[in-house]
Amino acid sequence: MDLFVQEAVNGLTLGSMYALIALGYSLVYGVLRLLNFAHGDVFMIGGFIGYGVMTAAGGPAAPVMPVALLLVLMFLAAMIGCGIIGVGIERVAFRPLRNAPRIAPLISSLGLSFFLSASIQLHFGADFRNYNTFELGNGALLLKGIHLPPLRVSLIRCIVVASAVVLMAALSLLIKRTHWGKALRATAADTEAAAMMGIDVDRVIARAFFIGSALAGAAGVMIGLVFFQISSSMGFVAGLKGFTAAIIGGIGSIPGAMLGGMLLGLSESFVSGYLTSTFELLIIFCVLIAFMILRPHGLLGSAALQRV
Amino acid sequence: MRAKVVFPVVASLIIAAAAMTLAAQAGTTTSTAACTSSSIGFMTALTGAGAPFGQEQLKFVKLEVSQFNKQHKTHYRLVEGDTKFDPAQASTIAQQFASNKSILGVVGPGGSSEVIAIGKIMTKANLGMLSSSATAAALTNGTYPTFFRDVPNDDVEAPTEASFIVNKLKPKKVVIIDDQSAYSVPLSDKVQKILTSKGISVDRESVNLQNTTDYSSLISKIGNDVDLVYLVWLTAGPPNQFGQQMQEQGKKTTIFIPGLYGQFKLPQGGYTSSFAPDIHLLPSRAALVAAFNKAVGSSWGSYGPPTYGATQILLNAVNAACAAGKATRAAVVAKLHRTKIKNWVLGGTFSFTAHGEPKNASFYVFKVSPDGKYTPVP
Repeated sequence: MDLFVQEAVNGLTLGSMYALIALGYSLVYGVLRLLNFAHGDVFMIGGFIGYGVMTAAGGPAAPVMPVALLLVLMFLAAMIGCGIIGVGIERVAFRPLRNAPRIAPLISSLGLSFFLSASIQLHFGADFRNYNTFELGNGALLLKGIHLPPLRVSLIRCIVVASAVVLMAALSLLIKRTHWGKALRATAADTEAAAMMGIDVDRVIARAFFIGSALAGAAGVMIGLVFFQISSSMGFVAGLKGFTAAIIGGIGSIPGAMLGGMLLGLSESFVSGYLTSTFELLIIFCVLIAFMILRPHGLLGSAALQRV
Repeated sequence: MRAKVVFPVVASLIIAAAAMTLAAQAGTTTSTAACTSSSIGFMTALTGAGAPFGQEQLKFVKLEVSQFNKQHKTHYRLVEGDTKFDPAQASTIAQQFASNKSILGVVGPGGSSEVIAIGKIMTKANLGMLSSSATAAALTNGTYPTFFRDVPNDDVEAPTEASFIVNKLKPKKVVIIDDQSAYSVPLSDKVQKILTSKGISVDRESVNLQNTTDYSSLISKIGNDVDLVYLVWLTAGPPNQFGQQMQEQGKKTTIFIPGLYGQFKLPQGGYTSSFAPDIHLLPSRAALVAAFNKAVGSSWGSYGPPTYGATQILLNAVNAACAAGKATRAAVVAKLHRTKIKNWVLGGTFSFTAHGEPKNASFYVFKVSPDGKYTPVP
């Protein structure tokens, strides 16, 4: 029972981060019907932006501001920075190829992915960077939290999960209750019709990239805080897992991305806990293949009708 | 007409004779010229997860090359290769070194997996490699005749650490976690065998450090009845992260991480080991420690001095080969076999066995306090 509860906690933490990454894939797919292969590297850059802010603020051992304020700044900087990068990706890799064959923007985003990871490696080196979360707050972020045996959740995991839930809730409200959300849904349903109705489709798409990338940036900071290490190569696997989560939930579906992320995180955690971490990736991608074959529209996506 | 024929012929003969003379002289001066342009290679992880070890080793290699050149009035150069502890990358570096004729020997590589990956390349190129951190015992079974090391192998490490665990820590249950590398798996197997034979219950886990950054699930599996976690991981960052996540989950189990001397940063402390004594703690080495501190700074652990020693051994062999007029890789390997250095950096006289192992080498266990202080365990 102890193991089950702890693995569930681990899974929810992981799942929160995967959900945020998956949302980016779903947002872009929803409006463009294309995948952004540079999304995983945006997540990685978010981690580095957070690291940069923490270092500029004096480092984890002696920050020049309260830890709570530092964490907020790290998240904000990563989200805004990655959002801007996301808009840049849309302008460089997708907009010029809007009318090109569908494979062209995919290859373009793949090339951009290599460019981003190589740029970070060139600037920061290939070494791991350590968030040293244990030193941040003199260990309080790891040693304090919810301690109700068998449940033990550190403060930083509580913060990460809560932040992810808040961000997902905010996104849901944004899409359902705002004018822009309505425009996004209209663009996702039929881009041409939306344009004819006076919606600035280019701006809607750019905003989708901004928001999706901002969420990935937040996930990058979360990874650094919870697992302590970031590197220029971490975007690839995380991007694959985020993509898998989006597929499981239903690519293009916002609630699906959240559900897929959580399910993926829990699966990974329980496989590691009850079997072995060696087969973790194998099982995750077997699940992806199974979904692609048996239920390609995912758990909450809808099967698309082809008009002939 | 005759002059037009004779003159060019005579001129050609003179030129040919001059060329042959020059070629002969070049042959005579080849060894001297070759040694003045000779290099040694150094390959290890200079970036990536193994960078803390590799960068420390690099400082000491550079120091010894500089000191040797000054002392012996030579001009040996150092060629660096970053393997990132990746066997594939190590193969690329090995190919580069093998095709660089100025390189007469190599210090490194850092990891046993890398030695396996490059062994055939180096054997074919007759290029000697002298590692101060690759400890898999099988490396000196004759498969790689140009491989040497100046630190003890796992066949020395496993009984030393297992004996310490059994006799000093006296656990009832141990979890051994390997990282699937050529260093980790054999060492874990040997220690597990010894512990099991002494009636200690052992659970074995495995993790792929290339793909895994979250150890929470693995740590959750460690029950409260586990007395010791024996973590055989090749690099510094992941073990420290593992220890911090153990604290996060409130696990109070003792941790033993072999080979992490100088990089042990677990907040709860624990135990580690090293294939070399910490010369900071040897009074006879105080002057050398002061010299190292002056040259490379005071932030170094147990990886630097053996690499300094390895560089010294290799340069001595290269220099001896050059002095004998045979600046070839094969000659350097032959000289390596005949190495004998008195008052060696780690103490005593250093020489190799017939298989390229250091004679009379030992492993050392250290207790690490939560504030990072190392105390040798008798």
